[in-house]
This record gives sequence, structure tokens and C-alpha cells, in this order.
Amino acid sequence: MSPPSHCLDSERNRRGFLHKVGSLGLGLAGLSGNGCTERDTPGPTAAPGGSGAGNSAKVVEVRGEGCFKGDRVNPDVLTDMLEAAVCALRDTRDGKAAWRSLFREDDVVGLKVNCLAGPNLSSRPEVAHALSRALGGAGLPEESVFAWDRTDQELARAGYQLNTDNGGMRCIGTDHEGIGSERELAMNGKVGGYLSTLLTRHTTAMINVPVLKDHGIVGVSGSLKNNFGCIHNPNKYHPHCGDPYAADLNALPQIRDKQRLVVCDATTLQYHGGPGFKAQWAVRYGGVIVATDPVALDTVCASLIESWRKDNGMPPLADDDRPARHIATAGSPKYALGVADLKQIEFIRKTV
Amino acid sequence: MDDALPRNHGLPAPSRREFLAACGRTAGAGALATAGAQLLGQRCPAAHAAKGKLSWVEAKHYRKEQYDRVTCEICPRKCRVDDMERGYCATRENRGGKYYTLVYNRVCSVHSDPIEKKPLFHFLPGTDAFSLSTAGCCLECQFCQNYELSQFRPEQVENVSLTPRQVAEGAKRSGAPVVAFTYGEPVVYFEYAYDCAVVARRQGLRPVVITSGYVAQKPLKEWCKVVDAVKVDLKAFTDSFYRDICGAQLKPVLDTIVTLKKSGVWLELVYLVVPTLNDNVDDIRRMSKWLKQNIGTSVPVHFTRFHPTYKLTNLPATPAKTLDRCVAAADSEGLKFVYVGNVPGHPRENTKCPKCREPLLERTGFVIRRNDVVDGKCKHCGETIPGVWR
Repeated sequence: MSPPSHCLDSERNRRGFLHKVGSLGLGLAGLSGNGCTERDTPGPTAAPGGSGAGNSAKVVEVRGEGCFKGDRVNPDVLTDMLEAAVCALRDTRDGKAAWRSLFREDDVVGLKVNCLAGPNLSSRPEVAHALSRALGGAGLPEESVFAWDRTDQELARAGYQLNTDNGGMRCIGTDHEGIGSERELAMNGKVGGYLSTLLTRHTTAMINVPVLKDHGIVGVSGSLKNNFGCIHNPNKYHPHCGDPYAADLNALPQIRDKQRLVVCDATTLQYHGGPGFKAQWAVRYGGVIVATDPVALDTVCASLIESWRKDNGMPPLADDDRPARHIATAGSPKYALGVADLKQIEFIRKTV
Repeated sequence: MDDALPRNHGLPAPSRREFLAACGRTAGAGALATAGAQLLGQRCPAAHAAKGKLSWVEAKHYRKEQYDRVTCEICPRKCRVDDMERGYCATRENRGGKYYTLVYNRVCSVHSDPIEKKPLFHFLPGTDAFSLSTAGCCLECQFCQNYELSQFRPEQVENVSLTPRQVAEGAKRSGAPVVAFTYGEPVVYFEYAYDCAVVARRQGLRPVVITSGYVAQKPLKEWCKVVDAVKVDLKAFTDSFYRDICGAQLKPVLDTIVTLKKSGVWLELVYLVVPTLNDNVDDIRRMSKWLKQNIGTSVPVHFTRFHPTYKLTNLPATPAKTLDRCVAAADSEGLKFVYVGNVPGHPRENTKCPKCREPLLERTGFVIRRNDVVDGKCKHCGETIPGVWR
């Protein structure tokens, strides 16, 4: 079931968004309104690599005016949004080239979605399918794309059709029979967990697909937090606002080296009351936010959430005893997982 | 190993073949209690287990907050748990502002052990304890010897349904006078352990709890009314060890120890000595002084040997000399019943009369070779020996 429309006034949110563009003090390159960036600087020609490769401190947000069709997301608009975003990210007008700069045809790509909150505030199946189609257009068979999360049940509850062998995009939980977790403990810093074999064995690359939402303990549940779903024991790593656990986890080579892209499902934004869905604090944002740098993306997401909170008379996350400090830690020299300083992030905002 | 899980129970994503093989190994060791299996009509309780079944029974000891949030009050952590989330232990989940235990009746290990394995040395020596556990723990000790069970979510571990009544029946059938809540952390299955204890007592059984002691005072006091003995793992005497190695705090555990002593429930303590991390003799001496001042000198204290496991595989097993130094420090502070564990054949496995120094209980591993405690007194000099002897 989609969120009630009275809670998700997209027009109001669009105005709110435009208002915030200025207040955030972020760069506004590429607000051309068409599908591709105006710049034609060629992107990096290096082979697809990890999250830190190439244009790492660039974050692109694309919002679609017709993103919602009634209570549902319009798949065609979503496809355009994703193409525009990846083109802007990779500095090219050629959508296929953009995807091919990130993934090889023989890659098996895992989409690590976030399905904790049920149908209203999970990574939408429409986003996963749009990603699968985009990768298909770049030469990857749809069967080589796996949407996955911790459990089959969570995926189903979020609206995913479980699919292990019926053609098209695969969709499966770590707890599915025959999948499971690694038998060797993956350890780094204060974190130790058994990684999902969907990450370690069944896929060669990962697209992290978080949701743009507030989190009651760690402040912001972005891409760094989404990877808690890669291990068997995420509950152990929430204390102290998830810090430094999120950084330790994301520094695991099995994650860091395999994560090529982050595509944040920002069709809905929830600025308070997360991680579960709370209609009164959720807005129809109608966007996707992409980056190869997970820290930069989370930094931008945190700013957006803080901005929405401020506009709605809510205190900053830090004053609510849940600063999203795990993001800064991940960007610190000790971890160097990305850029956590807004001033050093090239933030491109577009509409389609 | 003191109260280690029978190996290979509760594996990450085990295959049916692996699980059956693990059960076979346990049975081959001659230690498997078949009572639990018979209750279920199976030779092996895991054979037809439905992996991942959850109980969804409303939890006790939580507070409802605004906007469907709850605050768990079962352990000192006091997790604030939002809707759809679980607490630190991963065994309790908030659904729409109502907090549920997911492990009521969901037993992932059931076994009959000598009571000495818990270890409880002054509690019905030579008897068996019908021992069980669910998944989950409110700590994350890096040296946990039962991590395959304690550090997993309940749906990740094979489990079977055993009602409190079935537990009591299983214990009676196996001839064990004691029901032990052990292996994992009973605090996280408080409601189930409580109900099992009530039913067990009605059947003339003695319920005991083997715990980290990381429990809030209110549920602890409820437990004290229905159990006969508690063994607390005092993991160190520094808060830094608790914080860095266990993800917890020392103070609430000390509070638990004091409350238990005051309650009259039989109490024993275990201190697992981990090389370089909690083996400082000065700390042992400080701890012994604290024990003497707060609970007296008659509570048995077991210094047990660490074996590398889980996240602490880079440290060696505790040298026997280190254990001897710990014992000497505790002795010097006047503690009367100080033991060494996980070192079969060590002379400090035995109990001597604190007055006449004659040997009273001689043990080899978990086997009692001599018992000269008669009606709770030393057979030789008549000194009262603290404990529960019948």
C-alpha cells in the first residue's frame, strides 16, 4: 500500500525542495531540466572499480516531475531519472556508456535494497526494476541482476516478487534456502559478522540502494547504514549512533571493493520517526540520488533530512541525541571511505 | 569447558546434513540427553526443526513511548526500539508499539549436563541439569564460547518448540533434578525461563540460571523468587573490559551479584581469565576485596581457562600459572572457596573444608569421586559448608 496522498504532497515538496536548494548552500551544476548534463567533459576511462573510483565526490540528484502517477511510481519517468542521474555522474550523454563505465557485461550485479520498513518506506521494487532495465540496456542480462536483502519475508513485504529462476531480475533474501551467510567471520575494527553470500559469492558487483530516511538511533539511514543488512548481526552495531561500526563495516574489502554505485531511492523522504514508516513525517520527494562515493551521498542525504527537519520545526539530529556522526567517521582519514565535507562535494541537481 | 554449548548447535546457515552430523557427534560423546528429543518424537531434536520460527509473545518489562517507540527494560542497556526494529539482543521486536519476545518456547539447544559443567560446585553435586537455551544475547563478548547460538538472531538458528511443561517433563524423564537456563543468555528469554522455572518447581525440580548478570533489577528480583541457584559470569573487574570486549558495563553486574546474595538464592561466580585482557592480579585482588566486602567470603569463585574462539582467536589459552596467580590473590583476600576451571586434574577442582582443610569433594572434570559433605557439614569436623546439598 502506498502512503496516503495527503501526507505526500509532491507539489508542496517540490517547492520545498527548490527553497532548500539555496539554504543548503550546495552546488547547483546541471539544473538544465533535460535528461543529461550540459557539460561534455569526458568521464574517467578507468575500468569499473570500487566506490572510491573516479568522480567520487560527485553526487547527483534527479527529481521527476511525473515521478508519481497516483499513488504509484511511474516506471518510465523513473527510468529517465536514473539515466539522467548516471549520465550526469559519469559526465556523458550516452546512457549505455555511463552504465558501462561502471559495470562489465559479465558482471553479476547485486542490488542491496532496504526493506525493513515495509511497502511505504523501502527501496521500491520499481527502482530495482528500473536499474535492472538500465543494466540490461548496457548489455547485462536481467538474470544477472539480483535484488536482495536480509530475508525473503522482508522483500515480499516490501512488494518484491521473489524470483530465483523464472527469468528476469532475480530477487532473493539471504535467508533463502541454499543462500545463507559465509562461515568465516568477517572482521574489521569493532565489527565482526558473517557476510551474506549474495554479496560474497553470488554477485561480482553491488549497487547499494538505500532509502532517504531518518533513523531513530544513527540519525540517517543512508548507504553506509544499508550495508548493515549484509551481516547477520546488525543489532550489535547500533550503539553510539552506529559509530564507528558503520565505518568499520563499510571498510570491509568485501563491501568496499564490490560496491560500485549508490542509488538512493528518494521517491519518498522521511525526516523523522524512522526507520519505520511514519506518514506524518514522510513526503513525496520524487527523486533518486546517485554517487559512487557512499560517504558523499550520505552527507548530502543527511543535509536534506536536516533541512526538512528544520523547516518543520524539528531540532537538528544532534540535539535529538542521534547525530549521524558515523558519516563523518567514514570520511575521516582513518577510514577514507569518501568525502564527508559538503563543501568538497559537487552536488548536481536536475529535474526530468 | 564450562558450560560450553555442545558443539555445532546453532550454525550460520547449516545444511540439514551438517546439523545431523553435529548431533551425531554429540550423541557419540555419550552426553546427549534424549529427553528433549523424545518429547518431540524424534531421535534428534534438530532433525525436524523448522529453522527460524519465531514466537511473537508479548514481552514483559518494556515501556511504551510516543509514536510506536518502546523502551526495553529487561537489561541495563534500555534499548529504545522503534517500530519494526529489534533491540541489541535481536530477540525482541517492536511491532506497532507492542514489544514481543521472539524466542518464547523456541529452544535451539537442549542437553543434559553434569551440574559441575555449569559450573555449580556447591549445588547438588553429582547431579544432572537438563539444560536448554534459545538464541540471542544482550552482550557481545568477543570470547563467547557459545557464539554460534548467542550471537545469532532466532530465525538464523535451528530451533524446536518446547513448552514449559514439556521442559519439566523432559527433565523428569531424563532423571535430572535440575533445569538449567544456560548456554546463551537467559536474560533475553526471561519470560520463557521464568515460566519454565515456575512449572519446574511445581514438579519438584530445581531451576538454575547461568547468566552474565547483565539484567535489570526488576526482572532479576522476579527471577529470585522462582529459581534455586544462579551462576554469574563476572567477566572482569574493569569497566573498560566490559565496554571494549563485551559491549556492556561492569556496574549493573555488580548490582546483580549483590541483589542475588541478598535474595538467598544460591550464588556462584565464574571469572574467565583472558590472557593480557583481564588477568591483572591487582584487578583480581581488588575484585576479591569487593566480593568480601559486599557478599562475604563463602560464595564460590571459579577462575576458568580461556580458549581462543569467536573474535578472540589471536590469544593463547590461559596458562595454568596465570590461573594459579589469580587463585592465590583471591585466597590472600580470604575467599574460602576458590576454584580453577577448564583444567582437568587441577587440584583446585576440589573442595576442602575451610576449617579443618580436609578434602570434602574431589572432582575429575565433571565427575565426583568423593563427597564428604554430610547434611551440609564437613564429615570430619562438622563445619557447615555453604551450598545446597540435597
